[in-house]
This record gives sequence, C-alpha cells and structure tokens, in this order.
Amino acid sequence: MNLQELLAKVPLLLSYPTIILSSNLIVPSHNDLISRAASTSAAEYADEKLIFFSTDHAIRLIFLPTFVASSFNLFAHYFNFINYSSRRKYYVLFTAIYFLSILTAIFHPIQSTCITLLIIKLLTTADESSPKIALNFKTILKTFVPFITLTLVILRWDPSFDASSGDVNKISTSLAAYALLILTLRYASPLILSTLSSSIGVVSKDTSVAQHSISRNKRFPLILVLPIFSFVLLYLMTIVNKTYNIQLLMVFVFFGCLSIFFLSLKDLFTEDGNQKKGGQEDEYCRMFDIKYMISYLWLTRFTILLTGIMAIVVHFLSFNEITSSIKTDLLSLLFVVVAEYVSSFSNKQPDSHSHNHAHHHSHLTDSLPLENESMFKQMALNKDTRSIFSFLLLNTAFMFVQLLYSFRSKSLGLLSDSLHMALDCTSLLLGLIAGVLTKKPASDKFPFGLNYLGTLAGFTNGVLLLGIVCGIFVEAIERIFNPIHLHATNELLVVATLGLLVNLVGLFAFDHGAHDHGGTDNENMKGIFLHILADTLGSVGVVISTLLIKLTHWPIFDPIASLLIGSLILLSALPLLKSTSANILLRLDDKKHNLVKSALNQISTTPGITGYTTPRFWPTESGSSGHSHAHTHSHAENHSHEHHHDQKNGSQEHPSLVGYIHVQYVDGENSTIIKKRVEKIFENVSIKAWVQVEPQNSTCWCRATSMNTISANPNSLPLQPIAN
Amino acid sequence: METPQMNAIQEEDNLSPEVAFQTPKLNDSDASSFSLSNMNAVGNVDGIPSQNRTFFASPRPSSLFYSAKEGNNSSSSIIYNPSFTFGENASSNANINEAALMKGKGNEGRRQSLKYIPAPKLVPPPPRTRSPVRGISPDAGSSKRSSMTLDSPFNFTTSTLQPHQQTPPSSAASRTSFRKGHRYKHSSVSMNFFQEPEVKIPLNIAKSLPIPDFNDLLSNLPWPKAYIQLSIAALQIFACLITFQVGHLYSWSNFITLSHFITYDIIGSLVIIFVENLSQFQVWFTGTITFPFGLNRIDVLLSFALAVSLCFVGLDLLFHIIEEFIVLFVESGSSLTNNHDHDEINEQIPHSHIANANDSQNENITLWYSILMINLVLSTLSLYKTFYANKYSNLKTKNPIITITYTAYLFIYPLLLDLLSSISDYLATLVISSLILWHGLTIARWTSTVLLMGFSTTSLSNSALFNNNDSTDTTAHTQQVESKAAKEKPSVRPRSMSSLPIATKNTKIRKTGFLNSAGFTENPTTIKNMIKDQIERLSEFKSRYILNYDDIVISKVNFTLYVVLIKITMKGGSDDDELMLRLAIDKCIQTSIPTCETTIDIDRI
Repeated sequence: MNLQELLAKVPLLLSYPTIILSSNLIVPSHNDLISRAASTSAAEYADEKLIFFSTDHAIRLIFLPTFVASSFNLFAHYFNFINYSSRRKYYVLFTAIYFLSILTAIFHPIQSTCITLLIIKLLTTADESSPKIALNFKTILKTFVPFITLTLVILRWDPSFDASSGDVNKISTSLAAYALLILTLRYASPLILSTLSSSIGVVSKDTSVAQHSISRNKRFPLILVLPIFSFVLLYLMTIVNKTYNIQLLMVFVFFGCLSIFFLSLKDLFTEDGNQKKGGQEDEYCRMFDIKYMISYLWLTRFTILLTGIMAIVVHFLSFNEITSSIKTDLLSLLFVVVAEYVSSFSNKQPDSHSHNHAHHHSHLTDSLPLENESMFKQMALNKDTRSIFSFLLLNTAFMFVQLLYSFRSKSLGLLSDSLHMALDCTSLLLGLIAGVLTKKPASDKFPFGLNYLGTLAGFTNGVLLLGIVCGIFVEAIERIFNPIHLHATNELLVVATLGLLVNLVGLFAFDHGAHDHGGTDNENMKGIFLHILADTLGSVGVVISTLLIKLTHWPIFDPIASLLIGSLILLSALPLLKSTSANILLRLDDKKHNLVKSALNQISTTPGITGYTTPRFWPTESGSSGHSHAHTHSHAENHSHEHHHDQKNGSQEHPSLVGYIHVQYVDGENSTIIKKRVEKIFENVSIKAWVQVEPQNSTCWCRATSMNTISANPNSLPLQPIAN
Repeated sequence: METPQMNAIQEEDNLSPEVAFQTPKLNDSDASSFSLSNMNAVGNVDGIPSQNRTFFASPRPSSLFYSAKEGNNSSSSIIYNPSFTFGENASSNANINEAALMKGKGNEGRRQSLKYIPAPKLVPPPPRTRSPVRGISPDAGSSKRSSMTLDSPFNFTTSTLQPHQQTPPSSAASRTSFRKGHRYKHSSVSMNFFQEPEVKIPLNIAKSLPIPDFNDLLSNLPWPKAYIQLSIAALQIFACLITFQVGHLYSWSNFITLSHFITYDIIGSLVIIFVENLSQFQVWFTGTITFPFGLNRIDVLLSFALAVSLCFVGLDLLFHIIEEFIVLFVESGSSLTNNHDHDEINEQIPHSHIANANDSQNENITLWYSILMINLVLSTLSLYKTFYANKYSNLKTKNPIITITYTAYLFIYPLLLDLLSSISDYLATLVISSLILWHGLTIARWTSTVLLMGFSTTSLSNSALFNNNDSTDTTAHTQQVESKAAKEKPSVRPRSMSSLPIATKNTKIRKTGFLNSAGFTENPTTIKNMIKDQIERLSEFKSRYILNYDDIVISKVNFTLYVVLIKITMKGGSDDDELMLRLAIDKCIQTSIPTCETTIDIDRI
C-alpha cells in the first residue's frame, strides 16, 4: 500500500504551498502598493508613505492573521480533524497558527513553506519522556542557524537592496522574527504539548465528561463567529482605505485548498486505519495518533523537499519569477535543500521512539460524525474508488492552482481551462458516487437494487464527453476562420505540462484502481477513464501545438490539434455509449439468451402444461458475469419444511437473471405440482422467477384477446368428445 | 367457417401498411425539400446505422444456432424446415420491400412443404390411434401414449391461441393424425388456411424480432407528418448557423447563446422523429427473449441523455457567468492598465458582454429583429408540430419552450438602457441557466429511476409540474383507442402484447385512478402499504394466507408500463380459491396502478 500513500500524498504537496501563498494574497502586500504608488508624484509619495505603512501593519499583524487562524481552525473542526474538547485547546492552536501566519508575511513564501513544515515536524517528533524540556536549545540553534544565514544572504544579494533605512529594517525584522521563533520553540513548546496532552487526558478519564464536552462543543460559538467577524473587519478596513482590496478569488482558493488539505490528510489516515484494524478505542491515544500520523505518513523523508519544490513552481506560476535575480533563485533552491537535510538530520529522533508510538497506536475514532463523513469513508475505503478519489483531490487542488495563476498573471487563457477542470471534477465525483451507491441494498423505490447505476454513470459520462467534443469542434472551427495569436506561449507550455503530469497521475491511479476490482463497475470505470484520457490528450495537444506555433509562427496548428483531439475522444466515447445503452435496455447476450430458451423449452415439454405467456427475464447486473449481489427476500425464511429445501439452495446460487412468467395448465392437473416443476426448471438454470400458474380456461390480462377467440372458435365443440 | 376468414383478413391487414408506405407521391415543389430532408437526415442521424447494425447483427447467431439445433433433431427435420426458411428470411431482412418479397416466397415455400407433410407420416399414426381406443395394453408406455393422445387436441388449440408456445416435437405425429381425421370433414382449402399460424407465430415472438436498420426507418417515414417535421428541423439548422454567424460577427453573445438553444431543439426534434418512426415496428412494443420489454426503453434512455445534455448546457452558461464576474474583478483591480487588459479579455473570452450594448442599439436593429422573428416562428412550429404532436414518444424535455422564452426576452432587450442592459443580461442568463439546470436535473432524476427499474411514482400523483405530461399520455391513449376503433378486432392479434388492449382495458380505470391518486404523496412506501392493506382487506384473502411487505415488488420499466410482482403463501385452499384470489388481487392492483403487468406467485402449503 505504499503506492496508495504516494497517490494520497500528492494533493498535499500541491495544496499546502498554495494555502500559504493564497493566504498572503487575500490582501495585496505592501510592496505591491509601494510599486504602484511610485507612479504618482514624489510629493504625494512622501505624504502617503506613513499612512500606508501604519495601515499595512494593522492589516498584516492583526486582521489577516486572525482571519487565517480562525479559518484554519474552522476547517479543521468541520472536517473532524481535531476534536475541540476544551476552549484552551482552541486558543493554543489559534495562537500557533496566528504567529505562523505572521511569519509567512515576513518571509518569502518559499521560505515560509519550508520553515513551517520544519516546525511542525519538530513538534510532532519531540521527546515525550521529558515534557518540561521538549526541545533542546542546542538542537534549535543547529536547526535554524543555516536558515538565518541563507535568509540574510538572500536579502543582501537582492538587486533592489540598498543602504536605505527600509531594507535595513527588513533585515532587522527577519532577525527579530528568527529570534522570536527560537525563543518560542524553546520555552513555549512544552506548553503546547502539555496543553494538548492534558486536555486529552482529562477527557479520557470519564465518559460522561467526554459526552459533556461534545455537547459543550456545540455551544462554542467562537469557532464560527471569529472567521466571520475577522472577515468583516478586513472588509471594513478595505472600504475605509480604498487602496486595499480584498481578493475574493483568493479567499475562494484559500478555502478550497484548506478543504483539499484536510481531505488528503484524512485520506492518508484512513489508509493507515485500514492496515491496522482494531486497536484501542481510546480518546487518550487520539492525540498521539494524530502526531504519529503527521510524522510517519505526511512528513516523511523527502516531503519537505518536494513541498518546497512545489512552492517554487506555484510561486513561479503566480509571479513569473521565483525571486528578483538568478543568484537569489539558486539560493532559494539551496534553502529548500537545506531544509530537507536538516529535517532528515532531526529525523533520527523518531526511530528511537517507534516502539512507544506503536504502543499508543489505535484506529481513529470519530466522535462527531457527519453525513458527509459516511460518504467520504465509503469512497476512501472502497477498493474500487479510493484511487480515483485521491486523483479527484489532486485534480481539484490543481484547479485551485490554475485559478491562482489565472488571477495573478492576468492572462485569462487558463481561466476557462480551470472551470473546465471543475467540470471534470464533477464528472469524477459522479463516477465515485455511483461506485459507492451501487453497493446499496434494494429498497422500496429501487426494488432491484442499484446495480445498473454504474452503467448509467458510464452512459452519463459518455453524453458529457459528446458535449465536450462538440465544444471542441465548434471552437476549433471558429479558430480556423478567426485565428488568435498566442502571446504567452511559455506560460502556456508550463501549465500544459503540469496538467499533463496531473493527468498522467490520474491514468496511473486508474490502472491501480482497475487492478483491484473484478469488473463489476466496468462501464463506470470506463467512463471515468475516458474523461481522464480526454484531459491527457488535451494537454498533449496543447503542448504540441504550442511548440509548433513557436517554431513556425503559424496559428493553424492550434485548431488542427483541437480537431484531432476531439475526433479521438469521439471515437473512444461511442463504444462506451453503445455498450451502456445495450445494458440499460436490458438486452440479453447469447449465453443468457440460450439459458432462457432452454428453460422455456423444458417448460413447454412438461406434461400438464399447455403454454406460457409473457416470459420477461433480464440480467440482475449489467454486462458482467462476475459475482452478483444476492437479493434479500424473506420469502424463503417462511418455509421451514424440507419440501422447500431446493428453493433455499436456488437462492444461494446468485441468479444471473430475474423475471416473471405466466404458465397455463390443463384443468385437471394439480396447480401445486405444476408450479413446483416450473420452479425447479428455473432453479436449475439459475433464474429467479415469479411464476403465476393459471388454469387454461381462466382469464388473465396477458391473454385478454384469446378468450374472445376461444369462445368464437367453432372447433372447440368437436374437441370435447375426444377429451372425454 | 369463421377461422379461415379471420386468417385471410389478417393477411390482408399485414400487407396494407406496406402498400400505404409505398403510395406517397412527391410533387414537383416538394421534390427539393424531400431530397433536402434526406440529406439532412443522413448527415444528422449518421450514428444510427452503426447502432442499428449492432443490434440487428446480434439475432443472427442465435437464429443460426436455433436452426442448427433443430436440424440436428432428425425426427423433426421435416416439420421444422419452414422455420429454417423463415430464419433465413429474418436474418437477411435488409429492406421492407425485399422483406415483403421474401415473406411471399416464404409463404409459398411453407405451402409447398406443408403439402408434403402428410405423405411420410401416413403409415405410423393409425396404430397409435387405435391402441388407446381398444385399451389392450395396460402398461406404462401405453398410458403415456394415451395421455399424449388425449392432450393433442388441447395442444393444438393453445398453439393457435398462444404465440409464445413452442410445439413439442413428440406431439407432431398426434397432431398430424388429428388433421388426417379432420381431413374427411373439411375441404383442402380450409386446411391450408388453418395450418399457417402454428408455424409462424412461435418463431416470431418467442426469441427475437428483427431490428429495423436505417433504410427501414427511412422507407417508413409517414407522409406528410415526418417530412414536415424534418423540414422544420432543416430550416432550424440554417437559422441556427445564421444566428451563430451573425452573433459572432457583431459580438452579440446573446445570439450565440440562442444558437445553443436552437441546436438542442434540433437534436430533440430528431430524437422524436426517430422514436416515432421506431415505434411503428413490432419490436418496439413486443417483448422478446433478447429484449424483455422491447425497445420501448429507448424512449426513456434518450430522455435521460437529453436531460444530461441540458444540465451540461446549464453548467456551461453558469461557468460563463462566473468568468464574467472574475473578469470584472480583474478589471476593477487593475484600473491603471485598463485598455490593455480589456483588449486581452476580449481576445480570450468570446462571451464578453461589454461590447454588446453599444452594437445592438446603434445600427442593425432590423437585422436583430428579423433574425429573432425567424427563430421565434421556427421554434413555435417545432414545438407544436414535433414536440406536442407525438403519439408514442414521451420525450420530457420541451426544449423549444426555453428557446421561445429567451427569444421573447431578446425582443425586449434593445429597449433597455445601457446600464440596465448589462445587469439584465447577467440576470437573464443566470435565470435561464438555473432554470435549465433545475429542469434537466428533475428529468434526469425521474428517468434515471425508471432506467434503474425503480418504482417511479411521478405519474401516479397530480404534481403540478408534470400534469401536462399526464394529460399528454391520456391524449395518446385516447388516440390509440380511436385508432383501434377504426380497425377490426383481428388486426389486434399481432400486437397482443402491445399497449392497445391495455389502453382499452384501462381507459375507464384511469379516470378512477386519478380520483384515487389525488391524495397520494410521491412515496413508494406509502403506495406499497396501501396496496398491501387493500389486498388483505379483500374477501378472498383469508386470515390463513400470508403476504409480507417485502414480497411486493413494484417497478416501472418504461414511461407507460409498471410491473407488479407479488408472492403469497396460501395455507389450505383449493384451485378455485387460488383462482378467485388471483383475479381479485389483479383487479385491485389495476385500480391503483394503471397499465401494469401483474404476476401473482401463490404457494399453497
């Protein structure tokens, strides 16, 4: 299952740096405003500088961190990641995220990403045996001296650096931030760890206390009120000072990536929960369990390195640069490498405590279940759909990255592509929900179960693919007559290549997912696969056409690539539509057709039976001869006689066909014997049938016109003497 | 005396539709439209032949297998030679005209083969006939022969009355001997007429029916209704292209949106024409082994597909609105470089509305209104000539209503002010897309329940939204009754499994059903409980009988047909009690659920 962990971890690599970057961009930074104000006259600049500075400080140090920290806690609570059993826990976590948010504002986003990950790793791998001295002063200094050096060198080598007071203040601010960070880790980390541990300990002593804390948690309004209040304050601040603008799109991206972040973490934890079943259902082990999960599942070897690289990529996409010069670019990359090295150095500590963590490991208990929770668990636990679910998270994370990029770069070529990716996520979600709902038992509304839901989802995906193909064709024809000159081809290449990588991960996830299931959801998986393939071909087409346009400067290659891609998608979607249509029409294949014919032949040759009407039999599952779900009928339980023993055996054989038939018998025969014979015939060929036995002379809706014919037939008279 | 006449009338009635299809004549003025319709039909319905061929190719292996299987049985090879001939005709059915010729040849072959049947069987039957009369041998073999001889008259009768029965080969000799005895009382002409149905009907219905291909569909287009519908669709295609081109030239994004709606109207029209044409064939109504409920479910499947397409269109429009809002944010955020961003936005988002208000009010107002008028007329024609004029197609997406609504809005659009036009355009597109999404989701949820063999209770209740659909169904059934009244009773026999007798039977019950269903909710559990209580309150239902809630299975298999499956356990009771109980339950269910097929499985302990 190491492969599955890798799939579940990829969305984390992408969503975490996007969270840090988008949280800073909710309100434009001071440097952006200064660069804009530089275009005004120097006289106004001298006057407005002081006003901007104080307002920017208020936003940066008070309002924005409050909003970020409270939103983080709100999402953690909503996704049931942290159980707030006491208010003190909320305050401690709130304060921690608050200061981390300030750090992200002071440092460069790439450095912020690496430093915050390292802090989390240090805290989760701290020694538990001596809580009073959680982190050694010497260890902290060893950890942060390289970062301090690199930060100062990067600031010094910045081309915009000069001897003016502003930049010297920037260096002083960074040094002060590092000093505050070191002191906090040295003296405040015991408080953090003891708060979390002691609050858990208090709860575990008494079950009624736990229930009381749950009920009290519902009356804890700060979780919901504080984000709204801080957002309103931010909004009022921007109204008062018209220079600032809240970027609602960045708020949307921030919330979306928080969702992806917590969903991906739960995906990882569910995976580990599968491997180790059972265990202690104790709340005391919950906190240690979370720390164990974070240190052994998320922040494993090379995680900080990969996340740092992702941060560099995201920053490049958003600002078209990493830093202002090539020297500082290399230094930032060195910063990422040093962060990984330092973390691997500190990684030696958990090895000596692995036996302790294994002792405290237990399955996650959800004391606050939600309705979404059950659907999420079914998606994540189902072997067929969990790989696709991980890919859905990755796809959604990449969609938010594209939104971020389309906003920052102001070249809106990828805005519609991002929305198109939202449509693909909807399609993936449709397939996942169908895969989960197929397992539901029969109900009053669906007496034959939802076995055909996968086929219906495949058909729906086929129809959506046809719509996408039509859109591609129309756009391609439009571009043939009205060519568009592409300007930012480099950016288009980068984003298309990233999209290609994301889709290749999706194809890989599909192969991994298809390896497990036995073909029950064949059409459903095929529909999902075609959507991923369509996106992959789209990315390949964009890359090739962009390269050709750069070489030849002919814009005709773009519509030609679109037409080819649309044709390929169409050719792959039509067989899916045909097979799903045939299955939904309840068509029998040759094997089942001969099965029914054999049964009908036996019925017609049974003595005492004069005929049959309305033989309607259809497959219980669509298009698969694998295992079928047994229909739960309590009818068999009512017969305790040995006489009906065969019927029970028949129901256990998982019939491949289900249907009904009306059988007519001669008037002198015993209807019970006739019925038993017919049922025996159907049991032998694994058909579940409702059988209605009728005397030949009786009336029925299935022979509404035959009675008139019989009564009008003069030949009925000479037949009677022979019968006598 | 009456039997041969009925058969003769039936044969004539079979031939008359083909003759009717061959008689339509094209006037000189209609020749161009006819060829145009053919071209459009070929171009637009290009995917249908491959699908039909796929369906049509599937019966061939089973047919060959059946022929081979029967050929192996040497004792019945002479008897089933006509069925082999008929199978070849069915497999090679490529055209209605050719099918008619082949059917004629098949009939001739059958008559010739039937003439030779008595000859080889003349010697063995007399001893078998004599032995039960004398009663000399009392052993088991003699009793078996005796029972089969006694059964032969009834087998003979049921084979003519029940098309699904397959004649056992061992009783062929007995029937031959019966015909031999019967021979002395009637003329040879009546014997020939009397023999034909027993060979034809079981092979036709029990296994599979030929699925029409593209040429069959083309040759069966009813004149002049289908040609008018195809002409309207062709005109709409031209109007759609013109609207799209004009909208693109003048940056009228409303016209591009309107062309999207017209495109879906055209697709809906073609689907209705296809379903109406396919419903003329027997395979539509009659259930076979391969398709247990016929091809009638294609109607539900196509309604579901069009509903999904509607959702796709609604989502597409919503995403365009979201793009517009994001563009507004970006423009307001960067007011310094407004010109550069504005040009870039216009280049990359073709649905931008900013340049729209100026163009629509300056010039081209005549072009605006003339194109809208043409589209309004064509949409109205499409709505009343195609979407409301169908008998069998119950397509639930009435697309032209959306197009007409949007066109009416566009008539008012130039009268608004510059500022209001931008806001109202957003609001109108938002309302239209929300309406489309909601409508598509509602129909998709409904049709998906039917496709999953669920118990869809929508048509059982008087919901305000779908009341028109129920009235449409009632009108369709009334037309069926009227068409039935115009024909004679023997013509109904080939469609004994169709909805015609069900419609006849349930026309009166439907009125009662509406009154009863006035107070129902759309909850399947409620209806099931109600049916269970009604059954248990019947006088024929004794306290010793057992009916569990889980043993009642109700599902809807297409737009008009319900299936009710019930299992009951009787402790004690005779055959008459069983019969009376079954008839009473059947009547009770018919009152609650119109147009349903009931199967009551009664176990007697």
